[in-house]
Amino acid sequence: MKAEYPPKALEESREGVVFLHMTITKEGKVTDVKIVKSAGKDFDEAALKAVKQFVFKPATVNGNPVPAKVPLRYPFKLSGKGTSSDSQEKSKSEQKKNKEVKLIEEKGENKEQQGKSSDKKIENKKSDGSNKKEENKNQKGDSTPTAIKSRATEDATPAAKINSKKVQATIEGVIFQKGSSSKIGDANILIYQKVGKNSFGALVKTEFSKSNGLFQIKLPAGDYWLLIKAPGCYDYKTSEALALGENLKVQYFVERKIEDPYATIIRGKAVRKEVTRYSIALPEIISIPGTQGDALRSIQNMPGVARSTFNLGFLIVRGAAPEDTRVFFEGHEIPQLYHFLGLTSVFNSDLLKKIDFMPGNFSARYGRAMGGIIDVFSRKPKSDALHGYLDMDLWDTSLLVEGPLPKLKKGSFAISLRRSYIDSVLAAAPDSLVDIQVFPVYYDYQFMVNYPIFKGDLRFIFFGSDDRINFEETNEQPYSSNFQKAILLWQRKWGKNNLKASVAVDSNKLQLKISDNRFRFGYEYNNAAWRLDYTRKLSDKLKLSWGLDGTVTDFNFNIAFRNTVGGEDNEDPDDPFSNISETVSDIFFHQAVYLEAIWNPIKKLTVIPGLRADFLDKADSFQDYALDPRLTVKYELMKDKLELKTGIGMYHQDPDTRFLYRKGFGNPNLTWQDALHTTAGFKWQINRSTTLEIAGFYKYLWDLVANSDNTVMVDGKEVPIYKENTGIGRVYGAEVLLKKKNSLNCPKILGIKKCFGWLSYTIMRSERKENEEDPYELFSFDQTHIMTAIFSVKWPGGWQAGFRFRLASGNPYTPTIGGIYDADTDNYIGVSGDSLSKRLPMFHQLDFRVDKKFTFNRWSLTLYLDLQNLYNNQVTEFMVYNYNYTKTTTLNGLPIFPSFGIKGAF
Amino acid sequence: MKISKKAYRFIPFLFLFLTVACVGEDFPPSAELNPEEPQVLAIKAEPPEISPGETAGFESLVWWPETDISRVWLLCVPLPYEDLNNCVKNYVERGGELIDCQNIGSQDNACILTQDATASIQLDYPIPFGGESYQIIVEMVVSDQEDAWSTCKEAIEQTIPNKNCLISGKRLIYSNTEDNNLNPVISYLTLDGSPITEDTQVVNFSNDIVLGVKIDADYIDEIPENPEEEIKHYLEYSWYFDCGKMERYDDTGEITDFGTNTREIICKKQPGDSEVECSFPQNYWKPEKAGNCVIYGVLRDNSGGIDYIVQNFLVE
Repeated sequence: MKAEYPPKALEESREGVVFLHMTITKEGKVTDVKIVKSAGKDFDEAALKAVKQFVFKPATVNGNPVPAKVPLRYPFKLSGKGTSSDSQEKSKSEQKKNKEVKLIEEKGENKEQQGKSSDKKIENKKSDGSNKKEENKNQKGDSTPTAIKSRATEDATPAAKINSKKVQATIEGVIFQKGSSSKIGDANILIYQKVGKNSFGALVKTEFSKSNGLFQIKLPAGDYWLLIKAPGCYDYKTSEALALGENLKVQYFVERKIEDPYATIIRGKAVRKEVTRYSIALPEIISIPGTQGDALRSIQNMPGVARSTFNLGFLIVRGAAPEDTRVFFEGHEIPQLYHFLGLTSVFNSDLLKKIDFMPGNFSARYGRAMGGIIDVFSRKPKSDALHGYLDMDLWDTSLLVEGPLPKLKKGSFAISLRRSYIDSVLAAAPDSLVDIQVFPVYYDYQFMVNYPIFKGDLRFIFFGSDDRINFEETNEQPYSSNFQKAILLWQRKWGKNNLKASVAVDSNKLQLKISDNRFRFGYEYNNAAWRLDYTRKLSDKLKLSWGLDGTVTDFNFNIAFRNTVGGEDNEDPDDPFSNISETVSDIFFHQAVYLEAIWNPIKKLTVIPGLRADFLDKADSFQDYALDPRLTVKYELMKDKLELKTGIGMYHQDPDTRFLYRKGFGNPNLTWQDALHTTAGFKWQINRSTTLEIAGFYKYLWDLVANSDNTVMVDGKEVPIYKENTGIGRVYGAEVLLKKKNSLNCPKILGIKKCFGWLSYTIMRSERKENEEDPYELFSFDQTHIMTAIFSVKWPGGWQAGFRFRLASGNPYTPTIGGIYDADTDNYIGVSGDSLSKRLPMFHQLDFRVDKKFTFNRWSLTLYLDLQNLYNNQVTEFMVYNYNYTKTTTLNGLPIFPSFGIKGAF
Repeated sequence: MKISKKAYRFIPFLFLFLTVACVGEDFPPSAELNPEEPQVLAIKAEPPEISPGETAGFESLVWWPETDISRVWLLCVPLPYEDLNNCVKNYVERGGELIDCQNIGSQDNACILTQDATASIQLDYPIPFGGESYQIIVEMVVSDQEDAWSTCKEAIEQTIPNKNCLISGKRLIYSNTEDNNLNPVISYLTLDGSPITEDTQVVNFSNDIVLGVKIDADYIDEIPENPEEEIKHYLEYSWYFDCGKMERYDDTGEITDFGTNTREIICKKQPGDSEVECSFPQNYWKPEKAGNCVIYGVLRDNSGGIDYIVQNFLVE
């Protein structure tokens, strides 16, 4: 819509330019329009009225629309003055260009941000041989020189003074993001006349770079200032001298304000379907201390997540057992999130888009889990240019290469590899320091191709992981686990509708050998899986989601107790000391459908009912279905300030596969385990930078698989039943997340410009009992208090530093109160005291991280140091007993543990 | 450097902590054996495997210096999921009362055998739970008090040892098989290769003494008369030395106060050989002071068979 020329101004032949700031929502609508520079009340009102009608193409980050703040200049010129209609048209044209601007997400309050170091490179200068002095000046922050403003106000007709006959020189080039190969498209290039040495003259022309960063500007010969404004970047200012007939070729390097670890690290918000969903935006989180740059490890800092012993990476969510929480990648389950020992995750964080962590009351989209859900989403590989990095630290090296598909105009690819060398590091350490003969080795890889097709994105992802332990001298491998997975997915969004379909195949294997091969355990399974998710907006008040997911599994399980004497097997079947070896092979089938509605009966109220049905055919005896109704309700008590939310839902989980076989010391008659989740809480936006989220939860669990002393008659023989669905559990507690999400109110210390932090605290109690008659006792993963405080700051010049402090109750444990001598084996058997009657000492630890990034024109170099357990707290992880259980000592966790590394990226 | 077994023992820990994690506080070396604490060194069943209607006798080797000890022996027929650490305890928790085995009812599966220094049992009922063999548990509780039963009743019922009551157990194989396992037999100890025949052997202070043990090959199971292939049989032998305090013999060949005391013995018969030969690693003993010493040797065949020997020394 074009602004109506104010009648009075028209009558008075007045002209003017209104300068505005506005926010373009991710839907493309205009909000928060402010007059930055008035041209008079009537012009202002006309401009405001017009601008509010604009609909823009929203800014995007990694292909996803995001809100953005943009400046806008709205000129009013009279046609009678020679350029009135032209200027209206030019204005329209300019606006059109503005409309098409693709903006990178602006983070924080950029007006106050200080930046520096832009650069340019002149590849070819002058065709006529004349050589003029050029200037290049770095500019800090957004502080547009006053001269610009004043002159711009005085001269409101960009390009109006350019006479095409005077075009005598050309400046063309490309705009890069400094420190990488990324090109910046749609950057606004403002050309001013240069007056004197440093002063700006009239605005001569405005141009935009193309989406590939290229631009070409024709100008009369002369001296100019070029001011480049790109959303999310520091302003870049440089001067150029153009000689008559010159064709100047340049490269400009514009510095992005930040790959901002402070802007949106976690979003503790109730998004659509869950009462509590903590979304981790990437790559912002990589600089959190103690995570060694691994975004997936940051899940361990979330509310509701208990600390894992030795930081092994077990996900203990709201008092649930680790196996009760399922981990998905693009909606398909993966067997493990971390390499063993929790050192690092199995997927390169730099290829992820986001991580959704749902500690309870999760959507009907997910099933067969009583604990929580983690869903990891990949991003599109970059397509603007070839990018990559090499990241080396003390334990492993990662390599990433990504870019456009060769010889194709569309699509992109990424390849990532990581290989540990802990074995080499530890082997090189002197025995006096590290006397260890077994070494862990791991590697992982990812290959990804993205291709736009059928108005959507088709993506193929192939990835895998391998962990093993090597003995130093014998080269034996007592432990190995690996998986490979391929996912083909296609997704399309149109309007409020979304369709995502995917298929996956995978292969998984684990082998464990203990005590000189006397105990062997292993499983191997292959999956074929499919998933479909479809969301459709039916009206302004109702949106429906439905979908299905299913799996076929080829499963093989083996277990063996091998009695060896001097390395020889004892195969005597009549000998009670002889071998036991069992193998199970089976085909499993699972299919689920779900339906969910997002209903807004009134503006402030959102009701999300859902229903999920699962059918499972597993082992010989388990063929059953489960229905899970779920409900979430949210009410916005104060718009954008306070939201109340609650949820209740049923959750089913099938028993561990090995417990379904009598051969595996299980019971084939086991059935579903059940859970009821309830959560209630609120989210309060305290101010622009701080939010507080509190949620209370109660979970009741029943039909849990528990140990049993009962026996049954099988083929005329009385045999132990081992397991029964008699277990009962309850978990209750509260989570608090106080989060400072942007750079407002940062401490003014040493020039800190950005800061971010959060405080999460969970208080809870998790209890279990093996049957109805027993009293409740603590669950072995119960931790009453869990607190994590994180704070990071950034200074100009590429420095950033942060700390993480954690406090958690010790795990309960069952003390051993004596030993009974076993005369046959010459060993003592520990006698247990009251079950889980004691707790390990409270855990507390401080981690620290500092990064320094050196940014060059086309690449960057980052050095980092991550110190865990800064004050060397002796964390008690286990109680250890002497040979006859008359004395105890402690097995401690890591001492102060440094990790340093170097990362070069282009 | 020994690698394999030691390394395998590391595996569980690797699942628990990063490889450079450490034990917070080491046990003092003496705690490996608790040389000041009394202990049961062996319980021997003769024979270690019986069939229905047969009798087995039990005797023990207990180190509890400077005191008289009393014993109580109990019999427990475990349920399938029970072992010697919970068999009696579970019986009591189920409401069972520990009474003399001669008076037990058909539903009882634990009872008191005797309070004598040795015990014996004769089993006449079928193999439990319908199998070919079953492990019967004989529990021995030893006390430094005069009456082990009255002193240790609570410890026995809860199966929790204390400083006055040591609890130990031995499994008796109860089977229908024809060739029941036999105990291995220690013929005698050797000193510098010669048999020790004296009740108290005199040795010189500060001399390296080479100790050995002679095993009676006739009692080594499953070595046929004329095997076509070399046949090996593995036994384990444990040394204990008491020269005022209990010590073990470690793998380095020196007597120290910590480390394993177990040696592996390989007995084999080559095709055509008429005799079984058992290799036994040389064991060097260097007494550090003059006085009386007692050496205890315990031999195990890994199938429940046990023998032991006690030899007195006078170090001059």
